Amino acid sequence: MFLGDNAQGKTNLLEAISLLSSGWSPFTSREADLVQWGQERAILRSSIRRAGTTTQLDMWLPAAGKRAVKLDGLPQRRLADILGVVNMVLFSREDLELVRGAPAGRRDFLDRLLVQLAPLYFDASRRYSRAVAQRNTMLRQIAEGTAGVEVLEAWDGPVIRLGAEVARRRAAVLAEFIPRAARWHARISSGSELLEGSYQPGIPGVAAEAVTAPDGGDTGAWTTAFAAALAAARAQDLARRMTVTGPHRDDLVLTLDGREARSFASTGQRRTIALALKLAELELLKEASGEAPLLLLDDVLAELDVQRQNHLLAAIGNEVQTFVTTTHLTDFTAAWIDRAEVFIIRAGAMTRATADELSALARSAQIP
Amino acid sequence: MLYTRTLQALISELQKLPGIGPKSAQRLAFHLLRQPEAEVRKLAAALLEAKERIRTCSRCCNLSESDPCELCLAPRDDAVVCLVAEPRDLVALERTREFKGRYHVLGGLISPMDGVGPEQLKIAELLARLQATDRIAEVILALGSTVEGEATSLYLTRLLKPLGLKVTRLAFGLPMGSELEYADEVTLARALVARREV
Repeated sequence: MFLGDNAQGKTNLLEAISLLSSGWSPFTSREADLVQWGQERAILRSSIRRAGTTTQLDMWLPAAGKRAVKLDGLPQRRLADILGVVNMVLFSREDLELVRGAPAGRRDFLDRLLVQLAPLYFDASRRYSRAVAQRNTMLRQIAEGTAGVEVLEAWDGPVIRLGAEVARRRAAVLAEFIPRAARWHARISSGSELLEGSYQPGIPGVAAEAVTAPDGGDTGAWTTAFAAALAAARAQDLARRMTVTGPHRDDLVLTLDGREARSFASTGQRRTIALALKLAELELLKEASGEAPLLLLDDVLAELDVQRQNHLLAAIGNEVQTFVTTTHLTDFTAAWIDRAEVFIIRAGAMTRATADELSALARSAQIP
Repeated sequence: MLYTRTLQALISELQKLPGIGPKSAQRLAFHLLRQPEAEVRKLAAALLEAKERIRTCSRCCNLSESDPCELCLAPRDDAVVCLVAEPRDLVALERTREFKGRYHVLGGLISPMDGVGPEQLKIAELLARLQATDRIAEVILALGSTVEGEATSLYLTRLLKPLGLKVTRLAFGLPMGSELEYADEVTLARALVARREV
């Protein structure tokens, strides 16, 4: 547990772990923001100890330009080469909004899971985003009369090829993920409510078999559907100056007892669903890699009630190394505090809590 | 300001170079100041001379000191023209010593986000070149596998095919001397699709 006031560097620590594990910062989408203002680069170093072996994983993030990654001191050609070396699940306050929030949040959630399960997905997804951004710029230029419509078709090629790949992989991971989330949900809610989920692809007209196929179906099915959808929506794309179909419009639709959770679930129900989604993520990563991922709980634990904290603690068991950040210990159950090593973070420096500090902290913890 | 005006001016100029941040610019500036005057003069002279003497070849649009360039004047196969994005791509292909045809340097790839459309590339020059002679039978697209390379290839294919030319692109294959298990799955999947009968 990392205890400290706001803006002391707690989140920085989790961000570093997240970058090394998934390549993504959960807190900023701007690469330049990862480097302290006025500095040329940020450097992350980590040692991952497993039974009998230690792996060294380092990342160099320049303020401008490409990241460099090293595995045991050896430079790796691509970022994808280090993804999945250590897996992690991040649970933050924003995740409590997964159910009610915009589809983009659910897509990001899926993508973070996917890059760890299939590292090369990172490449496909980044290239797809870039191809769509290029095509959208093109659409604006056509509307402004600075580019001709004949160039647009050239961008359809990479958009369709990469978009089909992204969609197929998302369908594949959801076929694995949804049943696990439903099982966790049944366990936490003691079976009183039924959670169901379905992939709602941003590519209309895909054969239903592909959407629910365990491996995401045949890429050809997605390619054909996307090509047709893009052609059909061309006039609309031109009018709205953006690409209106494609996996960048995907959503994961969750229902509770048949009613859409996004609009109908209560705050408590949404928290239970969010917890079930995170536990399913943990389970899937564990099954895929044969090793429990790291669990990062950013300022979120205190938001969960006693019953949910207990479910989470039981799921963690003895094998999930967990990093918890918090501003205070008052809302934690004693079981959490007893099992934790507590560090205090002040102005970016970390110290292990002394016995005195610990007993003072424990006294102020109110939940028995 | 911490540095004298002259030193600050040098640092600012260096910082305009690609990949050079404020600290690298400072380091380079101090390095230059420590050098003997003759070395610095050599660098300045090389910069100016390169800028003054190097131009683009009016045929293939490659960088050259003469026009037409040496490659355009050399006895090579006029029937095949290989399209590359940048002069450095041409150099990479020349190093293989396997290609005996002509080149055409586009000067970039279509990238709307960078304000590069077909009209910013040397495509009009290519079309003029194709029109001027009927000896060109094949155009090879060697534009890389980035999304920009892929889009530019598609654009050019649609432009050139109707002219009755054979349009080919480089194969997507496995790196030589590497073992299959180390190839990334995108490369492997594409190599599988483009497999050949033996």
